[in-house]
Amino acid sequence: MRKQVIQIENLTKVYQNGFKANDQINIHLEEEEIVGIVGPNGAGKTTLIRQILGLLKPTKGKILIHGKDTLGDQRIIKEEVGYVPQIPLSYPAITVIDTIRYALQLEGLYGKQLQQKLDMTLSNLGLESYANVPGYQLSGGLRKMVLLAIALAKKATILLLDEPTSMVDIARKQDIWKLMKRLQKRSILLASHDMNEVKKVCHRIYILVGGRVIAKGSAAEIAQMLKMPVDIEIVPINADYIMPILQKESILWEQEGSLFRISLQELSEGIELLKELINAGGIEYLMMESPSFEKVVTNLVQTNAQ
Amino acid sequence: MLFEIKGMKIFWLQIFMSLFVMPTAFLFLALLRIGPDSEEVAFLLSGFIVASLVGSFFGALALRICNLMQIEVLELYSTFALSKGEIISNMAFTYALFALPQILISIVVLAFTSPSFNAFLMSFSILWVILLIALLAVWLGLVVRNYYYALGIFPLLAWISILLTPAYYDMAKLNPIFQMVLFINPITHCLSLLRIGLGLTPPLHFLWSLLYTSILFGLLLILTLKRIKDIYILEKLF
Repeated sequence: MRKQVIQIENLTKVYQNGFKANDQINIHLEEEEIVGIVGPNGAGKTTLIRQILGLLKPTKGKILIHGKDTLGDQRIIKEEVGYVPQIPLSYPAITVIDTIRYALQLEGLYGKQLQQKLDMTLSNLGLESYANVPGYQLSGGLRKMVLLAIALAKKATILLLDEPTSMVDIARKQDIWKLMKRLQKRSILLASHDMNEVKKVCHRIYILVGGRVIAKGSAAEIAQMLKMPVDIEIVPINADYIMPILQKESILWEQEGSLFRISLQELSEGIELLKELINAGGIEYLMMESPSFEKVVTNLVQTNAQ
Repeated sequence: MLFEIKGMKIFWLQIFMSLFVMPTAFLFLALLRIGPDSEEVAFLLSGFIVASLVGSFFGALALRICNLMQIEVLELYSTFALSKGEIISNMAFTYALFALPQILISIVVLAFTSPSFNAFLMSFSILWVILLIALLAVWLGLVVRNYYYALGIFPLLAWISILLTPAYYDMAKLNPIFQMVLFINPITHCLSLLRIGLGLTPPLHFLWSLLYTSILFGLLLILTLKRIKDIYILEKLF
């Protein structure tokens, strides 16, 4: 088992107005691992991240970074954690290049080494053409890119990314996902609404609803947690062959011209049926919606909200 | 510090007006009164230095500290590898630099007009007073934290502090109760320290003022460091 870089134990946060934003949360992040936190608005993702950063005081529980309790000494947070906030913040008067240069200087880089790292960071994030633009002129997406550049400039072993690709265009999103996967020496805790993003980049996922962790595991493990109906649409080569199969099985189906719509309880049932249909006479057209990760998460969230 | 100065670029006009033009306008008025009486010049300019430090430097720094306590600003600064102590001390240093020009002009005028001008004592007093006022501003900023309250509280506090300091009037002519109130005000002691360096009779005894400000400085330092260690997002704004 790899070393745990973040351990969150029984973390509870109750705001002054009595609202419980986090309730007995237990989460861990291992070395070189990408862990996602998924949940609807108000689930407590940002509250959790702000507590890890030492910006909010936990009501109960422990946060350990590299085994050190952050409540007693926050220096470990500054040394080991890079952060991209959810809100697209910027230093309004400072240019992109100056902001990133400053972040690199704080890491002790000067001269040629600084220039090389600066050029590399700008190029990695596609920010070269915005280098001399001040913060107040940047779009929300570009501000996010600059914040990501600052986080990457740090020698931190842990990155806390709070919706890093919100407001970012789809091409840049793909670049960021690739970049995240390339950062193998770092551990990433990623809070996101984007199921596609979480599914693509995260090794493990925690689903947060109403401040509690309601499910955890890999995207595949979570997708298997609930039985999801499968919808299949087919156009058979010859309808005569499939009628006895559909009538034989206790399944729901309807016909619209040559198109058959079939509903099944599970993916495995769908696969078996398709095999049978192909063997019987073949299929001209197939459209199958299998249980998606997004659907499972939505179901889990809705079930727990009720 | 350079980053903080660069960050002020788009606010340069506001900073220039509130930290330089307005205090210098008062300095100009005081200079207009310069006559043959060098003691009166020393009295007015020492009063001006203290009033300007409280009116512009204290207010601007305390507001900036409250601004730092806003959620988005705390989050923005937390993206850098900087401790809160480093951020705050850089802010204090930057604002002190901006407050220096009119003080330096006053000191040059005093050096030429005041026969009892003591450069060593004056330099010590100025530095000590700036440090104390900076610490007071940081501590109060960390206590108030709410930027929207601060916008009302600090100008009022600065005005009351200047009013209760014998910057432009003689403390000895006040009744004992008022004298007592002025004695409690730390700004009176700051003024007292400055006037010693100019050979003027200070409103309070030099040793009293030194002792009072030293104790206050130590106390504020402990309280401020404790507050810096415990900086968290302000959960209740109103």
